[in-house]
Amino acid sequence: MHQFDEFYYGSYRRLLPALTLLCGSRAEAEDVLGHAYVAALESWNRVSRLERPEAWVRRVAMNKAVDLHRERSRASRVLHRLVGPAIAPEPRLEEFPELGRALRQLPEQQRLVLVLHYAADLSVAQIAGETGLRPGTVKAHLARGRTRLAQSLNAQRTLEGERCP
Amino acid sequence: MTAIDESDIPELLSQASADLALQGSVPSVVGIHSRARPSRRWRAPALPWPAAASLSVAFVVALAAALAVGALVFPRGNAAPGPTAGGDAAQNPPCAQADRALSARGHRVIDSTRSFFADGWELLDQEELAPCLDPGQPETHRAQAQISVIWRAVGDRPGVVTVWQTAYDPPRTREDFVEGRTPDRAYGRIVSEKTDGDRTTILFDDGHTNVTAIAFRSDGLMAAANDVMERGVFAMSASELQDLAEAALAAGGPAGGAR
Repeated sequence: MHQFDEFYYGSYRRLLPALTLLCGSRAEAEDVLGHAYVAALESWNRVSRLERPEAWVRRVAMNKAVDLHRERSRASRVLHRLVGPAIAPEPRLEEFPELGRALRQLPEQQRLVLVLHYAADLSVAQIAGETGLRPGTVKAHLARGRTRLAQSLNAQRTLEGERCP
Repeated sequence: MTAIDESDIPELLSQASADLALQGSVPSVVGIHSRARPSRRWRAPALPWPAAASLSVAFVVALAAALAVGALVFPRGNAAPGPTAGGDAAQNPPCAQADRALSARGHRVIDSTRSFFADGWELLDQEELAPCLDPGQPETHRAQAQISVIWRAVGDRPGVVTVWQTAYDPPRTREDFVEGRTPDRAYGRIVSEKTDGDRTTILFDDGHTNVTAIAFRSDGLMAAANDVMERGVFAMSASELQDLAEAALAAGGPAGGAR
């Protein structure tokens, strides 16, 4: 088997869950991860010599996911002005809809840091290395992100409780 | 139902991640191989220096001859700027026209309709958008409209300007654009306004982060260019923005025309 193929099959299941939580949709996560693997294969001579090729692929995929999120926000602003807010479809995390909605409400960096730490199991130092943030900033995002995510999940539960007596 | 404490978050995310890892299958690596471009690195075979030198001289002579022939066959004045966008410019003549019009004004068009409506947005094609704008539905505009083309253009400063073209039937009036459908949908205060024959161009500023130039004609076609402030700066000047909206309007009607 080609060295890249082994790397692909060995790392795919480790990378996909965190990206799914970040993107809010499995399909979108598969797209951005596919894009990152294609980029890795095109530069495989260089990527394979890195200490952690998996971190490189994750970084490319995360960047792509953030770009997509920003593009969607921009498109949403334009279409809101043109045709109203109701028709803009949002990605849906089918398996964990409540968690998906709550994560989407977090600021970009809080979401990224929470997902990398708790879903991808990276240490604060690794997150700092991959995102370019200082370790102190990563810790601050983690603390604020946990608080906000809990608040958002509780707010959703309260709302659902009011709707369904 | 028990409330979630922030100390529950690590376990919640970790468990979600573990569950997601168990679901679905890994797509075949064949798809990745088929999408990857072949390696762009090419190494010239090593040649003894006399052969390399003579090849270099031959290459320079051939290049000079090709440039001379090219200059005769394709004089500079006739070169039309081609569409720079991906998307469906090739399949959509008005889109390609507008791409050229925007490119000719020095804007790099980085995207157009198809890629703008990527993923979930693809559902919002013209056919599906029209009912949302039907006069029979409450909270929607009284006119039917088609969004035919949306571009994102890049100016000389950081940031992206979104340009779109819409056909209204019946045509919208100046008041429609100035008042907006509801206060939060108004474009802002008028900074400048000019009329040139059938065409009116109005520049709006919402006083915060949005500047919008709208150019429209009495036949119902409208084009707008919207610049959203990013990191404290706008991507384009007001006159560039107006120019962009007018160029998009001049590029013609949407595919299929106004209803």
